[in-house]
Amino acid sequence: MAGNGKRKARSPPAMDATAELDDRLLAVILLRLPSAAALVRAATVCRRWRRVASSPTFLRLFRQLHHPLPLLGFFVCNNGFAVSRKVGGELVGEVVDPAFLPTFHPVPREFEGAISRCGHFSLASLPDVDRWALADTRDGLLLLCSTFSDRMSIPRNFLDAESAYLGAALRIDDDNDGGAGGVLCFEIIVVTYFMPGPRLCVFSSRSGAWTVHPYSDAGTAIMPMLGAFSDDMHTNGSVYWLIDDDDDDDDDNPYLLALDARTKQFSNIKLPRAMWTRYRGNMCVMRSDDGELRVVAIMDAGEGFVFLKHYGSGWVFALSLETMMFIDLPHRRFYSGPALPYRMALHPPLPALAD
Amino acid sequence: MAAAAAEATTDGGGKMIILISADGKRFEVTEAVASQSQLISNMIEDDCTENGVRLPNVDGDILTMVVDYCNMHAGDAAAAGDTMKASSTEEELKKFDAELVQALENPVLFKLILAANFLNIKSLLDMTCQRVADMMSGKTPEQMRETFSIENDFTPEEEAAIRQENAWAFDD
Repeated sequence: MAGNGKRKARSPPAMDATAELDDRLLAVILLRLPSAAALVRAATVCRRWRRVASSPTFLRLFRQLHHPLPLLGFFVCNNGFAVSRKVGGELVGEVVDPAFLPTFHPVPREFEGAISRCGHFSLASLPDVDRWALADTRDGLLLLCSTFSDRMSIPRNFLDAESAYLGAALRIDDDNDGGAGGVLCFEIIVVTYFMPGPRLCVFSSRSGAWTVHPYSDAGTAIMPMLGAFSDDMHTNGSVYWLIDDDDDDDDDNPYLLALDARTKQFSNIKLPRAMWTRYRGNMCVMRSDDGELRVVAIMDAGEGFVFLKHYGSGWVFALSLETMMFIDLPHRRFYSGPALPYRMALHPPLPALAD
Repeated sequence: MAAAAAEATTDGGGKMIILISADGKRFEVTEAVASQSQLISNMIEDDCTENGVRLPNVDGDILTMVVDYCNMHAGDAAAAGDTMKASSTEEELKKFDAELVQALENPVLFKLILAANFLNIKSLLDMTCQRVADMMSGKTPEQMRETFSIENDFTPEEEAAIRQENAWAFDD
């Protein structure tokens, strides 16, 4: 009875306590595991648990129930420009890899492995281009753009080459009935600008192909000049641009252009004129945990953190809005450009297993 | 017809219902207690509880636990006229649940899950499933296999590959 538990004999499935549960009940139990790490360990117990825990529907539910997954840190990439690295005052070379700034100090044991992997992330294996800039992060994926990140230099061979580049977003495509075999599906959305308005080029990992969405009516009669767009800001599945028309004509209030990455719809959010005159050029879009959208007058923000940076002296602090504590980020010299949050990923921890 | 016999007046806690387990044990409970089971609640609405409710896949000992649980929790579902039941405070309920769940071990725990699922008693199902999840969490795959007597049906190569891939979940 208990004796053959150690054997590798494939014959009787002992007295598997979970054998009588159907897959649905097993899923109900696994959904209650407290963390992604606990789930991954459970998925290593046997084939059946692995199959149940790897189904796209299950993973979607797990992500919803465990939202948000732990925030491990932020990738910052200095907009793709190399940063000189000094050791003891001596210049030892240039760094172009994104720097990873962990949010934990000290790092809890359960995240040590994941954070150390993020810290060692390198672009060395990528084709050699002028510069790689980090455009978005989502569920363990990083979206890098090469010369795109310079607005006017969309590569000639790109399908919308006559336009300018406004931004790019990564979306995890976990709509139902997709992702056969537990494969992660994603979309890359490149937003370009060409009169009369923004255009979307969408790559789907399901089809492996790009499609160009027709010109989108962004809800304004006259689109502003390219120079009126701020950099793209990413928060909770949407991309935002501050539009500063700068034509001393007070009829036009400043506004936010918003793109919902899921629905691919654009919308406008008007900003109060008073806020604009006061904070112009120093505003950022963020969303709080209750889903409310906020425009704040700070340098960069997201995921419950506000970034304060000072170019002159090169210091960077992150303020946690939850605890109202300052975190002194370690790689102070690196910081310029967006800080993209990196959360613990459920992918690719559960790759499909050939049965 | 039989209404007068079984049914006391409304303030006595309502009609009584007989539940019959797979091994023929009979349990008499009030409608308020029984209707925490969505299955039985539907049967009551459809008027088919007259001759007792047969539960062919729930054993007597499991049904005893289910009935205890439902008796204890009847208060929060329907504040019946029964002052004794209504007085089981939230604290008492928590204590009762905690003790019940702590005492549950392998075969009984899973039988209770199946019963709660079949009878469709959401709170009991939630509680028992959470107990299993709690037993899993913080354990290594080996410990989980041992706890639930599950055979490792991965080949050593497969398991090594999975662990390699998911090293982050095992770093401790």
